[in-house]
Amino acid sequence: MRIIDLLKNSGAARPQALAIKSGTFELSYRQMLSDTESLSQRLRSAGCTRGTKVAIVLENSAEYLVSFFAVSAASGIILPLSTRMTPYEVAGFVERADVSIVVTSESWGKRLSGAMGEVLSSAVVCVRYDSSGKLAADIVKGGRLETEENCGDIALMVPTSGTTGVPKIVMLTDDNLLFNMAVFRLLMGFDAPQVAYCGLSLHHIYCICAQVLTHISRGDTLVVTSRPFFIRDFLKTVQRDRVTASAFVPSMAILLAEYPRPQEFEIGSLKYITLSGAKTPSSTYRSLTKRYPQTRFINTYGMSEAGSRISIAAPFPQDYPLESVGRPMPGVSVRIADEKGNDLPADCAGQILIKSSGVMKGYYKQRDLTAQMLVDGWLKTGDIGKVDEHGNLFILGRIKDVIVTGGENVCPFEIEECLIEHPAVREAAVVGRTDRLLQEVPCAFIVGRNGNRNPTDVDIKKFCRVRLSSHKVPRFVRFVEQLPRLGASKIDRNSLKKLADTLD
Amino acid sequence: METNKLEKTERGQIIEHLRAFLEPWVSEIELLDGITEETNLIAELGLDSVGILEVVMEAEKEFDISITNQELDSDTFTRLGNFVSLLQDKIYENN
Repeated sequence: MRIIDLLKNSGAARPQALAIKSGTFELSYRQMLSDTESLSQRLRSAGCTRGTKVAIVLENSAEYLVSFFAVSAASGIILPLSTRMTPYEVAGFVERADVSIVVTSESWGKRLSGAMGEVLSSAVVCVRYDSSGKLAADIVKGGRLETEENCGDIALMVPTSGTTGVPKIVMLTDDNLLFNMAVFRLLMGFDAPQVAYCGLSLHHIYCICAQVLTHISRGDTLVVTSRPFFIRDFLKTVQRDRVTASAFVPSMAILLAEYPRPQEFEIGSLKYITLSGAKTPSSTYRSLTKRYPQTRFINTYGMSEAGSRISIAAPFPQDYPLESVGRPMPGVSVRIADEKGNDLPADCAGQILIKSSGVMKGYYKQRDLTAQMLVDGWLKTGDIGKVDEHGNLFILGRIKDVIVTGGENVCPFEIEECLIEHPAVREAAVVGRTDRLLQEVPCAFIVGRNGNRNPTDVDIKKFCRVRLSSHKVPRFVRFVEQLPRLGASKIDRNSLKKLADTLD
Repeated sequence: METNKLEKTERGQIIEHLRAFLEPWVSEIELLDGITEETNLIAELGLDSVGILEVVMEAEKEFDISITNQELDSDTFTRLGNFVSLLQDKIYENN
């Protein structure tokens, strides 16, 4: 069974049901399936065949979802790329992943051509629903078909933040994804048909598993929006569309918990909200359960390399300790190991290792790194955690120097490499500054080249914004005489992190 | 008449401040050349949630006001004039 079969099954079982709602635009399962099939024909005529890598660069929309399933229908490999990226970041992934076809919008097609010029060897297909609700798919540029690496049964490739500055691409098979989705769906215990609000970017593996695959497999409705998340918009949409379920990261949960007058909206339909991306603060969680008693707030833990979900506090979140991320899902084995790889007893903190049918095949074209991360089928998560005597999993920290901001993992080295390219920057170190809403935001400490004639922080931000996604742009920039070090070379990130937290 | 003129100047001044705050966060800097009260900050300038947070924060600092996220929705940013009106209200509240 493949991803596309989920849509085919729902298309056969519930053809009249609403599959997608995006603003005033609506698509039934019958129409979605038919449009998916015609786009997959178009992709085949652009050269898509088994193993062809197809990047999708579209914001949350009906076009994104149809393209997602159309690539699967054409036997290609889906590489979803966020429109939050800069054209240069997208171009980098297109090149690194040997992408043959880019499915995008007209405006992004132009930005991408500008960024890559003639270097772009991939074909470009622009998709758009016109005003009459008809799907137009134009091959605006032909391309050379890449046959770099035999990808076997890979269905999806997802970019993930690297720990060395070079972003990694996780390879997942149909089996990885379907196993994970099926277990997640079972544990959620959804009853009637659901209306799911998709406010996070659908290129995230969290949303692909917990929303796209889960709800399409059930014949539910996906309400998609590409606008930035505003809590008032969310509440209005819940009332208007009778939304029943959503997937949140902590920043969204904080806004919901603090909304002063939710009773102004009719939101009794809202039954399920999953929480992931980072641990939602316990005070926020308590406030949510008190103020929205009709809604189950379900903590989950996952990562791209695990085919997404690892543990979940479902179906009844009150059965789990508040600080935990639930228990490992059936079929997912979890070990807590010390630095030498020895198992640790209950309640002892160590690295979380996992094994399941959802675990990735590996990183694309990074065999050495794959071998380091996947040992005897056990995936090193890079997170520190513990399991209590009842089997509940707790996340306590992380080994890797990753900044978690608004549910996104960001590698500080990637930002530092960008900063170093600025002519006035000699050295740079980036750490996460504690943020009430986003958990952390990137904070840059820079040693300048020109004595006191340093650029302003706005100059630095502008420089970064052209090259990096907005959430990677340092929100705080400070020039320093020198960076604190541990020994001769290693930057003392802990002391910088403490310093960052004191900045105004 | 006098009040109207004054209001317009103030709105114009607010927009000039915002232009500077927006600079790092728009997808292409040239887009700022022709901004008017009708400009859609999300669809036309490509502002995303991070950019919005940052611009709001800068405006709070500049005008010595406080805006909670709960007071904002996408309508505030689909027309620059709406955001300017919110800022004006807040500035008047403060004085």
